Amino acid sequence: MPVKNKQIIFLLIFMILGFVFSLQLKSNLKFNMQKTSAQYTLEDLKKQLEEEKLRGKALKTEIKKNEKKNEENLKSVVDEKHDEELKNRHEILNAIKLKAGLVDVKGPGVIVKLDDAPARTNENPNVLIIHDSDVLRVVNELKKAEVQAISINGERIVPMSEQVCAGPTIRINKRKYAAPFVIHAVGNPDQLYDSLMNSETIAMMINDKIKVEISKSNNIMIPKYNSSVDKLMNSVEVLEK
Amino acid sequence: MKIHTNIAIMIVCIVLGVILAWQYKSIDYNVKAASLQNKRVDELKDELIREKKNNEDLAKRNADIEKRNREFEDARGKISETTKLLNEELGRARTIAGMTDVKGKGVIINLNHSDLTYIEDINILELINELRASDAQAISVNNERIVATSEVRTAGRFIMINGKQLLPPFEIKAIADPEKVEHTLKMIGGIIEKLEAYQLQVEVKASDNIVIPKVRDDGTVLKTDLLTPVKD
Repeated sequence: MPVKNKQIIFLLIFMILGFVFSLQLKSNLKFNMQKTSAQYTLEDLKKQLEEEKLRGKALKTEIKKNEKKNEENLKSVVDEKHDEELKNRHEILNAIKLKAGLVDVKGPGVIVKLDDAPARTNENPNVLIIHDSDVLRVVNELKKAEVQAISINGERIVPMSEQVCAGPTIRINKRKYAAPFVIHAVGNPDQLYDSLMNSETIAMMINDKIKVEISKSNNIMIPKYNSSVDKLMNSVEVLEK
Repeated sequence: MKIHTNIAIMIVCIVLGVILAWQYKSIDYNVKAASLQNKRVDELKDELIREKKNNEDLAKRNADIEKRNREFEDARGKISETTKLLNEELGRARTIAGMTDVKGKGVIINLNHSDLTYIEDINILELINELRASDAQAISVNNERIVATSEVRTAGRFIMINGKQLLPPFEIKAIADPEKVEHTLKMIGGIIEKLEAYQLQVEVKASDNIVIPKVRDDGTVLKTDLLTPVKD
């Protein structure tokens, strides 16, 4: 082979090599830069999120404090008047608030815990998980047994409380919850327990190996409805009689 | 000499090939890693937006409560003012509990069985649930107001709601944004598709003037005898 030919081959090889090196360098440099900027926004976002969460927490405490103050104010205004009519109305208000789910309550009842079935192979994963309709049915069984107050994972069930599927979670009162679901119900414990145990709903869930735990208790706490009350009624017009 | 140079060129070529493959992998990895991080950033951004919106709602709610607190303060000592505020609170609580007749925009859904099938509790239960999910503010089935403790029970050909027997056809009324309701009910794989698969007849009509009666207040629907208010 003539010397010239060989030199050309070498030239070509080194050209490609040089090209490869510069390409690699560029890619790495770009990635590193992106990484630092992404890292920076990531940290920044995390910090902002933390701050918002703290703010939310502070607002919730503030709301709780103000609601309490509200009740105390009303009570003191009514008390200092010594007016029978006013006192009566105040008592009616408290009774209605109890019916509306606007008061924390306690009483006898049952606690129902539902959790997804343990994963098995060769099985449709769809039957292993708890669906919105399962929760809906269990809550309906409790209602059939004359339940007086219900909460699911701490969300008080009011007339317009939905239990709908939202991806892997269930939406209740516009907030998303994942399994396990803990349902607190105040009512006659025996009646609630028997209604559940004799229901097709629970039998089918147990058959699907969904974890179901039902226990009676004499001291069940159920929190009041904890979202904006106005959003429950801002598009209805009340017809006075 | 000639073989030597050929071997040298071969080795250089192999090294070059390895480097090329390696580089391809490395660049591919860099691109993937960067996109992964961008995705995480997007997720965090979404979460942040949700949290901010949530806090805005909370702040508004707090402002409303504070406003009412001031009104109570101002009314101190004035009987008529206090009575008025008390009545307002009472009205709100009644409406939330479902103890007032209400009127508004919404939908009327007619649900009927066919010759082949009957309507079961779960059909109505799921329909009501979807209406709630589309932000309904009041619902009734054959004029039985749905409240927090309203059960739906199959009893032969009847459906029982609030302890009352109801016969098909069922007229379900809801006060809600009609567009939103139709969107939720009629989506693919949605409740209407489901009901029609059971051979049930469903008809949704929007109306500007829906009247929904209050729940009967004879102590059989909304019971509170086992509830003890908790004061902290």
